Parts: sequence; C-alpha cells; structure tokens
Amino acid sequence: VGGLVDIKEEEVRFTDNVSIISTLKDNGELLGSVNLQSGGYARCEKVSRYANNKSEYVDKYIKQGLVNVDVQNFKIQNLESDSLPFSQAFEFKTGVQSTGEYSFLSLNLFTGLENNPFIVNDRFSNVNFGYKKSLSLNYVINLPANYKVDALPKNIKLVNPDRTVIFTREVITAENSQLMARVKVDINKSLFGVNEYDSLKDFFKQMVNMMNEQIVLKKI
Amino acid sequence: MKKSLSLFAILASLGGVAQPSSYDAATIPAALKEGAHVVKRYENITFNVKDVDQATYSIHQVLTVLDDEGKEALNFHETTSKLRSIDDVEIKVYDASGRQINKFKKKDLNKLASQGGLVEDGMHHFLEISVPSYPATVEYKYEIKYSGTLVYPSYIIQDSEEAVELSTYTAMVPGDLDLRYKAQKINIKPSETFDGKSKVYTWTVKNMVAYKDEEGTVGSRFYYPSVILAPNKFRHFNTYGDMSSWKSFGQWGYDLMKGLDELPEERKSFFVNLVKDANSDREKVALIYKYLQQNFRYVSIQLGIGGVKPFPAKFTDEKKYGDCKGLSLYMSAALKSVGIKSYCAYINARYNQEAVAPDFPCDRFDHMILCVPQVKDSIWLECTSPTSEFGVLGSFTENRNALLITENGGVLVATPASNSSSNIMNTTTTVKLAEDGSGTTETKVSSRGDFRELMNVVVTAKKDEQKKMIVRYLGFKQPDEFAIVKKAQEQTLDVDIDLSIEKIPQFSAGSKMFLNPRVYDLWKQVLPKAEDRKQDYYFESPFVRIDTTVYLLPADYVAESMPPSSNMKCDYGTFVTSYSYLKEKNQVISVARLELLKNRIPAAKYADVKKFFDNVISEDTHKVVIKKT
Repeated sequence: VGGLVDIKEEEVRFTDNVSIISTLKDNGELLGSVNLQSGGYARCEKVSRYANNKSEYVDKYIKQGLVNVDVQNFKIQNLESDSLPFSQAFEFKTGVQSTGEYSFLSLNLFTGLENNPFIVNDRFSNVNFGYKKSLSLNYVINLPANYKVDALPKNIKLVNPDRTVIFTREVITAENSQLMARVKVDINKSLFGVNEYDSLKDFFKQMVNMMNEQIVLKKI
Repeated sequence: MKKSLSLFAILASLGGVAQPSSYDAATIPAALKEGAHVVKRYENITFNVKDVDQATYSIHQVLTVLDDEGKEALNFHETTSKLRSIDDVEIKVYDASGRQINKFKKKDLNKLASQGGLVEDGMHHFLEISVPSYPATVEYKYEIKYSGTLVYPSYIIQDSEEAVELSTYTAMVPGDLDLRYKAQKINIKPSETFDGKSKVYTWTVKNMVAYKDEEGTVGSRFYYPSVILAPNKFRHFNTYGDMSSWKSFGQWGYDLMKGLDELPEERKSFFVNLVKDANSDREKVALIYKYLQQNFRYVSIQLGIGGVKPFPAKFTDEKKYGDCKGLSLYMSAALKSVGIKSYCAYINARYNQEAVAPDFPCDRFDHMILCVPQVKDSIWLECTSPTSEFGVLGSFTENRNALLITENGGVLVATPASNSSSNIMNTTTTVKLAEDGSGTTETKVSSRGDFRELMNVVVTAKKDEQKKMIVRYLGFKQPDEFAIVKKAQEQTLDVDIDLSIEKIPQFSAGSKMFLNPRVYDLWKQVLPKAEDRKQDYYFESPFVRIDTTVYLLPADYVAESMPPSSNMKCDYGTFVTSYSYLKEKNQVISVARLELLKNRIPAAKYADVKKFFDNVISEDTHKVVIKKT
C-alpha cells in the first residue's frame, strides 16, 4: 500500500471540562465542589505539572492567582490511565465581595483566563495553538433566601471572522434560588496566520473582559 | 547480638564510614523516604589540603532517586577553571534492585565554556543521566584538584526533599595552616585528630529525614544545612593572603588594588573642574557619581585574577566600561583626585542574602560597592547602575555586612538598613468615563528606588513592549491607544501615562456600571502558602505605594454605592483606603496607601503578612457602583 498520510486536524485534542457546584450561605460564604476533567493535551499538561510537584499542585495551579480561597479534599483519578481524562476534584470555600447592598459572584474561578496572552500590536509570526482546544465551564449556584439576583452577565456568543474561535455564555436562573451558567471556549483551528492576529487579539480582549463580568446579587 | 557486633567492627575499621554493600532501593528505611524524592545513601568526601597552593577534593556519593521529582540528582555538573580541574570520573547507574545498568567516564561528560559574564575562562562538565524507571540509584566518584585555596569547598549536607542515610566529610590540612569552620542551619561538631603533621576534621551525619525548601527564602548558600570551611592562609593565582581575620583578608584585597587608583593629571583636573562649584563633599560626590552613571557602562569581565583584581582606573577611564570592581575603583580614583577619601567594599549581593558572620572571616562575597566615609552617615554607592539614586544602595546590598578595603586592612561594617521611603510609587490618575463605558485615563507617576528602576525600564522600552508592561507590570487594563512621556528625573523619576480604554468598568448591567477601586493593581502578587512556614520570607524591598484615582462620571450618572473605607494593619505593613463622592463635581475619589515596612519577614510572622496581602488583593475586588439617573 504506502503513500502519504494526510495530517488533518479533525479532532479536538485539548479538552478541559470544569463543573462547579456551589452554595452561597446567608452570611456571604461561598462553599462548593469542583470537578475538572482534562483530556488529550490538557491531560498531558496537567499530569506533567502534577507529577513534577505533587505537594504544591493545588497552591501553584488550582489556586493560581486566587486569594482567600480555601481548597480541601483534593483528589485525582486516572493519573496512570493514558486514555482517560485526568480527573481533579476538590471542595472550596471562599467569600463573596460586597459593596453596599450588592454582592458579586465571579464566573472566573479556576479557569486561568484572567489575562489576554495577546497584547502587542505588531506580530511577525503565526499563532500556533498546536491543536484544537475546548474549555467548558458549568456552574450551579444555590442562593439563600436573603439574596436576590440584581443583574446577570448577558447570554452571548462571540465569534471571530472565520468562526473558528467561539466564546459562548449562557446564564439562567431557575426560580430565584438557583443560578446555572455555562461558559464555553472553542478554538477550532490550531494555526492562525499573522494576517489573522488582529482579530484574534481583539477576540481575546473581548473574551477576557467578558470572563471578568460578574453576577450581581442584592441582599434583601 | 552477634550480627550487631560484626557491623560495629566494620564501622570501626572504616572510621565509621561503611559503604553499603547493596544499592537495593528496598533496603531504605521507610522513615527516610517520608517527604523525600532523593535519598543520599552514602557519601564520603575528603578535602585534603596538601599545601597553601594545593588541595584535592575527592567525592564518592551514592544517591537513590525515588521518583521523577528527584531527577535533578541524575544531572551531574561540575565547573572547572584555571584553579580547579576535574579527574577520575566514574559514574555508575543502578536499577531498583541495585543491579548496574549503565556506566560513564570523564570522556562521556559534555563540556561547555562557561558564559556567566561577557568573558570567562571556565568550563562546565555535565551529564544528564536518564533511567528507565524509579527508584534508580546513581553512584558518583570523582576528584577535583585545586591549585588555589581562596575558597574551601563547603560541606553541603542536605538538599531540599532529600534524606541522608550516611554522609561524612573529612578535611585534612597541614598543622601549620589549619582551617576554620562554621556550621550553618545545623548543630554539628567534627571529630579532630592530629597526626603530628596534619590536622584531620571529620563530620558525620546519619539518618537525617527530608525537609522541604520554601518559596521566598534566603539565598541557597545561606539556606542549606552545611559546614562552611575557610582557610587561614591561602594562595590565589600568584598572590598569598591571610584570612584569619577580616583585617588581614582586607589587607590582601588592598594589596591587589594598590596603585591602580591613579588617573592621569588632565583627568584629575577634569574632576577638580567638575566639582568646583560644589559647596560640600556630599555635593562633589553626587556630581562625580552622576558623571559616572552617564558616561560609563557595566560589563562583567572575569578575566585576570579570578574576578578579584580590578582593572586600573586609567584603563576604565579610557574604555568607559568596567565590572563592579573596575567601576568602584574608578569612582574611588575620581574622588581621590578631588581630595575625597573612599573605600571599595566587598559584599554579597541580591535582596535575599544574610549578612556574613562577623566572627567568621571567609570569602562569601561576589560584588563590590563603594563607601565614602562622612562625619555623619557614610555615603554608599552602587557604581554599576546608570539609574540608581545617589546614595541609595537598595535591597541589592542593604541590611548586611560589607568589608571595607582600607590601607590598614579590612574593616567589616554594616550597610544601611532598607527603608520603605526609599522605594515609593506615587500615582494620581484622572479617569474620564463616557456613557458607553469607554474612557481615557491620565496617570502621573512619581517613582523612587525599585519603582524608579521599573519605570526606567518602561520609559526606555519599545512601543509594543511598553504596551505589554502597562498591562503586565503596572496592572492596567489593555489599552487601545497610549502615550508614555518621561517628565523629570532627579530624586524621583516622573512619568505621564495616558491611555484610552474601550471598557473602563469591570462590567455593566442594565443602567449600572461597576467600577474597580482603581484602574490598575496596587498589589497582585499572591504570596506562597503560610502553613508550617519555617524560614523567613524575603520581599524584594520594603516600599510605599500611594494612589489617588479620580473618576469623572458621565453627566447623567451618579454614584450609588461606594466600597467601605478600610484600614488594615499587620506588624510589617499598613493599607488604608478611602472613597468619597463629590456630588457637585460628579466625581468619585478613591485614595489608597500601601506600605511594607521591612523586606525580611520572620517565619513566625509570615502567616499574618500573607493574610494581610491576601486582604489587600481582596479589597481590590470591591466595586464602585454608578447608576444612570
């Protein structure tokens, strides 16, 4: 037989799925549990970080950039099973920030999406993500009776010109006592030419701005 | 009973150092594996000083690497120079059961010229050993020959996350030379014997469990449990010295520099002319220091006598460059030409260093600065920096001991203590906010000390690099347009930063905008965890940050909610904020002041300081809520 093998990028090779279930207490304390599943290259990245420094993985990577967040019962699964996602689960405790009668809940916990990697105006080389990537965040937030929702981040879909990078966010309230949110970032192309840099930079800027938008609650 | 007797007999016959008969990893006691990635099974080091100019250092080490995190122990690395050569290298690798699986000799090592400075004449010898699985054991045997004895090799007993089963270090030295030693971060004494010709010191440790390195501690050579050795008499290249006192060691330094501080007559006249209008010695020193900063460059050149003998002042004067020694000596020569006495001083540099011990004269220095004695408060000068403020050393060399090199020998003196008011960043920002959330910010920065160094990097960077720095170093939001203008540079470096930003609020919802207390981070570094902290924590330097941010609200918006003013304190810092709304001007004014009093935080106080800085970061997540009327 023989012949050339086509190198195609059909499959998403980097997947991070985060599920956060949390409960806001009436005293402003936020308790929750997190399950993070990292597949493909996301698995490689995290397993390697974990293997190189097990004792500081939580402090260095899980709590990266966060303060006053307490992480307990950190557990991993599938460290040795190459074909399965690397599973990281833990419980956390933090407080919500309040100003006056308003309290704020961030949808940007444990994501690593605080900063835009693309800042400079001039770029001379291509942007190579290496593979298609997917980040999916699912939130369930239970609210106590003494808080009500004042404002929610808008449901939105942000796409770049050739629709290869997509950011979607949906936030819904199920009655007044539960919030559900889904945030998804899909990078469906690994290589972006220099000519696409401007739109990519702008996309990431918008996305980081949106990731920093918060749920506003009002104490009643 | 019989068994333990025979074991005792073997130990006794080898002077207490029995090499294990098997390298089977399964025989490691469980207690030693606790918290360890490497177990030092056996170590026998002999440092044999044969004469003032000749010594050998023989190493035999057996290390078992338990897992991937200990793989650093599988990297062999030694450096050589004109004074230090390596020989008789034998490296063997064993699998978990102790079966030999690989072997290397000196010819297998990689070699690389050392590139630390611009020019050096040393060589690295290294080998990265790979093993198929863990645990794996590696055995190193080699010898280093010394032809100079300025520095005796320390006995570094234990690395982080390494347990020690058995280790011994023997130092042999002719009786008339003898040596001095000092234990560091460990309480240990040697056995001492004298055979009529040589003195023999032997330190032995057994069954030491692993400890863990912590982030932000003192520099590693002050950190490891070790024994520091120092010669009384030494030879370095073709010079001989006596280190038994700071005075005699300084005398050696003085002799090395003697006569090198002469400048040609016309250059002396140049300096006399330069300072002719100055009213005091301090002013004269400041003028010459400014001339040095503006006309000379720092270049690290470690040729000649192993990084200790400076180039003559005349040479530096012609070339307009030099290393720390060359520039310090040049500055001293320039001051001499206007009749001002100054002393070059040896020091150990970087913010995370301890002071060298006054009772243990030893060469632990790697830098040179200049001291100009005055009736009150000596003037200290860092001669390698074109940007440092006159008379301020910075935490690079403050808070420790320097050895002044004087005509009467060495004098160990304390450098100034770091002071928060030497490092000030004072910012005033006016934010013009439009109804669509876009806006412009005008920031006036006045910076001193470390912040001045940072701002100097920012103002001299290329445009696109500046943009990165605005976001990553100064913590602003990503601007669409910006301008950075340097205003003045005397004691403070003053800079204007103007930005236009697409979205000023953190977010908007309905008729409200939610603004951050400031448009940049005052502090965002998350300090390492505080639980079980055992070592002191080092910040780069103490500092003060003062900020006033004025939000000019869009015409039809009013402030609805303001963050509460705060006043936080710990033993080492204060953080005060206040917020007000000027209704008639429709302005929100946010004022903040953050001060860190000392850069070294005792381990026992670290948890408080960590909590304090976590709360400083949290404060920044408050929001100013404004609402459309």
